[in-house]
Amino acid sequence: MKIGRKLTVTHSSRICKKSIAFSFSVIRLLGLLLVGYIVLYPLLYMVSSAVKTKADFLDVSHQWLPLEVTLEQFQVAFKAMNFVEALKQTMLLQVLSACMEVMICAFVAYGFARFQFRGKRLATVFLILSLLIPVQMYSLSLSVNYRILHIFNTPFAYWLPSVFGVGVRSGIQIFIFQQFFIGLPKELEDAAYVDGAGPIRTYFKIALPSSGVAIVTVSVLSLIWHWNEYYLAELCFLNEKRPLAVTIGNLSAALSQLGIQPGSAVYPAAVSAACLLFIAIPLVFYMVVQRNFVKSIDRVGITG
Amino acid sequence: MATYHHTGLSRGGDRLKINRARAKNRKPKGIETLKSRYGLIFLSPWLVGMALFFVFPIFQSLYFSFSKLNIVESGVNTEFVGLANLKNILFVNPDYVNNLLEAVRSLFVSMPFTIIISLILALALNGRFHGRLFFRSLFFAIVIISSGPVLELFLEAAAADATEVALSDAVSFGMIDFADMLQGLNLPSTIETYLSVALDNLFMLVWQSGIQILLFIAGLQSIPDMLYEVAKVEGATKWEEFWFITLPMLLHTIFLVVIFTTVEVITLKTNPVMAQGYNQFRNLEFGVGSAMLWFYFAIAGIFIVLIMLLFQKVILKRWS
Repeated sequence: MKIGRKLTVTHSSRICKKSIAFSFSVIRLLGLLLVGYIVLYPLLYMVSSAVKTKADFLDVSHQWLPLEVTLEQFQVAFKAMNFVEALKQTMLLQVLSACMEVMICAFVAYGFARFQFRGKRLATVFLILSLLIPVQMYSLSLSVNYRILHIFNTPFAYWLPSVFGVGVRSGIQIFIFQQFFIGLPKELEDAAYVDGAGPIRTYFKIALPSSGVAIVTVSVLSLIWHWNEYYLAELCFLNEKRPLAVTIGNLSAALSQLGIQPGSAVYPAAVSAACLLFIAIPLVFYMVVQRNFVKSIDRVGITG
Repeated sequence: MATYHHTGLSRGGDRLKINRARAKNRKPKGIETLKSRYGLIFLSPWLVGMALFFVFPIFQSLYFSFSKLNIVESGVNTEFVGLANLKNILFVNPDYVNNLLEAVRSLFVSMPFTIIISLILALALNGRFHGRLFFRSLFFAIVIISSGPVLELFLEAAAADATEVALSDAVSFGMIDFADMLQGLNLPSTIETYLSVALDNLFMLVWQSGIQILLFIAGLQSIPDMLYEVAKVEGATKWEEFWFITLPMLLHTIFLVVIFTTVEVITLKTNPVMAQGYNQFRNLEFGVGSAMLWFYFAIAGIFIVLIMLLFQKVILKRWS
């Protein structure tokens, strides 16, 4: 009798638990859909308004689906952003220095993660400071020094900090790599030492090849951050040498030169088209690597 | 035989003693010293870079904020003016102090909400469910757009669009009126205004929490499963698991997120102080602009130091 009652109790509580779990997953799905809508909203808006004609913009009854599709605004945005030249600059300055920075950051982070040496504590303090102090605070001085060194408006202005591992958000990149290396089992490297390899050789032959996960994570972030960086690029480069992130930042001035004032009906369409052009390449890149990236986030072991 | 044995033993013992004494006098040479030297070799490019492109420019810009600047073709002409720039921004400039207060206020509004929203989203994305990969890659895609100039342009375009519904309507789907709901709750008025400001900015808050979600997911993944298994055996509910395992184990990540969010929020281009400093640079008032940014970041620095003191125990355990 007693046992029977106990059994029914556990049975009903199991049903209760199951229903709670089910309702929880439903709530989660709804919540994610809601937030997903917030996230997708600007993208959908941009796609919808970039292809609208002027008549559709003035027609309030058509909000999302345009009656006619036109690619005219893409041509306007293409011209306003100086797309071909600026894309070249983006590739030359930003993508290249992102690649260099990832490699250097991994190298430096290995030093932080694996070795004890005098002054390490001080170096760590400076690493934290570089996470904290935004580039805006000292960018003016950088730009002035570049003028003095005659590398203002040349690619070196962008490359040099990256070569030394202090470029765009390098602090957090070093930090992620450091966390990863700390979590990496030491045994393989010790075996390499026993076999007579020096630390640098061990790093290149053992540690770097096994840090694919961290390299994927940091590379994606670094490329995106560099692609979007406009502050330093604006201060250190003049008109025709400016990358995409700067030309899109000055879009409204460029558009009004082409005769599209902020008040005009097609202004949102031109801006949307420019935005789509700007994010197209990073988005395609992200779609290619997203599976690896999403998985790598789990395994890279950033714990703080 | 016996003596031989004896001497042999004593010889061996002496050798051992000598070896021990040597080991004591000498620092352990070999892999450890080698490795400590190599630590500096690994750090050397970064150390040079920090000195040239970080420490020196910071002090230089501090000097700029106390001077009058003219940028010429081959560099810069500076003229030391002492505290004149600071006096100018604090007492003469009509907007700076207001902008500063506005910036601090927006930091206090967005900070807790960013943390809570990103933590909830990370928890939701962390479990196993259908479509997990899709949602995850969607939320990480936030980073692509929100770290660049596109989001501001979108807001600008949407504001200029006659057919566009207001963003706050878009967030509530035009059906749920959050303001009414808030009024129905009879909260104290300060909390109510606080919440309504946050709800108005919900769109931006979600958009700015890309990296934070990512950090939280990484942090959640690093909690050993063992702890949850023990909790399950002991009969803990999910609620208890969250408060007694997840949250304490996430403290490091929370610290990281707080720091990261602070830096993000104070350097947003739309931030009033940043925008004002920007304008000063555009008008070639470099000295005043530097002073504005320096004073602002000094205040932010105090805030960050307070956070660090709050998380002191956590950091000390982990970082040293």
